[in-house]
Parts: sequence; C-alpha cells; structure tokens
Amino acid sequence: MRRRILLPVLTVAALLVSMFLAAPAQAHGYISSPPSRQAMCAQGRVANCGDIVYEPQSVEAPKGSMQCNGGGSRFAVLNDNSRNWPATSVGQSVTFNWVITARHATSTWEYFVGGSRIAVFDDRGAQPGATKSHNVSMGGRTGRITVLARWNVADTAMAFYACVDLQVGSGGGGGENPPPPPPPPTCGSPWSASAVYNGGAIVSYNGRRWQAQWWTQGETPGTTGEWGVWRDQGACS
Amino acid sequence: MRRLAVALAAAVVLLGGCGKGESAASYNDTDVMFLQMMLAHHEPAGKLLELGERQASDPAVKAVATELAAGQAAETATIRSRLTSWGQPLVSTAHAGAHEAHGGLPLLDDAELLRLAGLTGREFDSTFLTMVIGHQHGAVELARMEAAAGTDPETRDLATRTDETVRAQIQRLLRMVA
Repeated sequence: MRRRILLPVLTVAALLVSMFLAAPAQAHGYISSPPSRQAMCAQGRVANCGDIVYEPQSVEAPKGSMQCNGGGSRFAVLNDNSRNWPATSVGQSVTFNWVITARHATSTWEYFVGGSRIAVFDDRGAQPGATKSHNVSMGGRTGRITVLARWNVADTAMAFYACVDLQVGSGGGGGENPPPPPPPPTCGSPWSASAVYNGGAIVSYNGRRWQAQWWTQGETPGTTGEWGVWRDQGACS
Repeated sequence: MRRLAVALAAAVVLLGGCGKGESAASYNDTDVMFLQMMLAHHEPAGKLLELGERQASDPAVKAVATELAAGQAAETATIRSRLTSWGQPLVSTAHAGAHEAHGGLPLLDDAELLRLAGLTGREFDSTFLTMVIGHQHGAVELARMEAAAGTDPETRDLATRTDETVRAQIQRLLRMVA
C-alpha cells in the first residue's frame, strides 16, 4: 500500500523537477519602493533573512492571506515583527513601485493596513507592464504602520505578497525627511563646437555639466538660454 | 542479502567507471540550456541598457547601464564560443515557448521599451532601474538552476559568479530606487 502511494508521489516530484528545469523563470514580483520587507532583505539592509535574498520576487501563496509571507511554508522571516524592519518616511500619498519578473494576468492589486483594505486596483485580467506603480492615500493614518500588498493573479489561485513598513507623516506627497543631496555630478567630455550632439548627450563647459535636450551642433552651452538646447546641470568635477 | 548488496555496489562502481571513460562530454543538458537561456536573457537587455545609457539623467544611472552592458557583452562572447565549441545551437528550439507560460509576453518586449523611451528625468531613471532589477532576477534564477544541476565545471563557475555578481548588482540597484 505504502509503495503504491510512493510511486505516484515520486512521479509527480520528478515531473515538478522537470517543469522547473524547463522553465525556471517563473517568478513574479515585489514592491521595491518604498522597500518591502523582501526588498530590505535583498538589498542587505536587514541581515540573516534566509533564502528570500535569492528570490524576493517569489513570495507566492494562495489568495486571501493577511500574512506578510502569504501564509506559505517559506519565508516566515517576513512575518517576524521583532526584526526591526526599517520604516520608510512618507507623507499621506504614497506611490508603491513593483519590480516584476513575470507579467501575470492580474485580477486585482490590494493594499491593507491592519485589517482594513485601504486601496484596490482592478486590472480585469490585463497583463501588467515590466513595472507597476500605484498611488495610495494613507487616509489620515500617521505614525508607524505596516502596509500589506497583495497581487492577485487572474488565472491561478495564487497571489504575491509584500509588506512595507512606513513612518507616515501628515504632509502631502514626500517623506518627512528630505532625501540626501545628490553627489556633485561628474563632468562629461569637453564641449566641441564641431561635434554633433544628440538629445541626452552630456558635455562639460566652463566647469559645469550640460545636457543636450535635442540634436545640436555649434551652439555654445550657456548661450542658449533657460529653455535652449543645453540644460545646465550644475558644477561638476 | 549482504552479499547481494556488495555485488550490486561493485557493479555500480564498474559501470560508473565505464561510463566516465566512454563519455567525452563534460557537460549535460542543463549546462547547454543554461548557456542558451543566458544568451536569450541578454538579448532584450541589450536594448534596455542602450536606452539607459542614452536617456538616463542621473550620471550614476547612466554608469550602471554602461557597466552592465560591458559585462554582458563580454559574457555573451564567452557563452557563444563555448556553445559553438560544444557543437550546440545558440538558440534552443525546445524553449522557444518558454514565455507562453506567462501568457506570451516576455518581460521586456518592444512595447515596454517604447513606454520607457517616452519617459524623462527621474521617472525615466527609476523605471529603467526597476526594469533592470526585474530582468536581473531572471539571471539569478538561471544561475541557480545551473548550480543545482549543471556538470561542466567552467559553466558551473560562470553560474556561481553570475549569482554573486548579479545579486550584488540587485542590492545596489534596490538601494538606488528605495
């Protein structure tokens, strides 16, 4: 009896292994900004996360869970609130950005705080692009909260889960803390009067960095005005 | 019973020895598939990185595009010459339908690249980086498949290096978009 069960189990296991080998790229997605817990692990800001560092995109479990790992058998570290997950400072309006590795047909994207659903986006079975962004209002909540996001796949029973820890201020868009000032940009090659530059080209001229906004030749940076072809990008080194 | 076990063990050792002597190939199907899929993986990324080099506004983002494109070009050359030396095709017909599992859309199709090309400034930069991250996760998955089941030592080395370098890249890119 035992053997009779074992054989089919082994066959299924072999089949699963061969399916995995045939198409290993079957993973999916997670929130990169503000960083979800799996993104915190994958970028090394939280240590000792286990296997999630290899595949932050794979937090997949049956639909309907309210746990950060979706209630699956893997990645339980994501549910561990004692981990001191860094909270990202945000205002009342937060844009959640998803890294996507497989563009699954999607029914909905849901966002929860506590037990309440604060936003839902219905894609009606459409496939997302290579990235996805949602703007979500925090609805007047302030202080430290954990947002649970669920990406519900349209044609399977599965969803992808991501928890994002936030420190919510009462302000409008941005965070409470201003972002760190960007480092001084590096200079491009010196501008040449005879060269042809396409839009986006970077040159240096008079110790400053300039970017061409469109095709240009023979127009000296700094002489084309605020709305001209060369945009001043500041001092550079 | 014990005698039977010993006889079986001896037979296995003998057969194993024979097998090794006769088989010239150090590689298996996983090695070939890994190399073919890495080539297929790099191809659309070439266009993405080119767009990043041309259109990113933050010099750090541009630098990422340049660095990844250079690494990828070198790796593509290595992979092509290895597959050729093995007499294996560069493109596998067996996996032509691999994308069908995801509804027929590869991650980076022309429509997505066009959408990206229509963006500017910080929006371009962050969308570009996010696409690169998503794409690079695919390389880690392939590398881990090879590390688990490949047999060719050099190809396994390539997989180990890919796993490490790409995960370090993803770390850095995630910090840039955080």
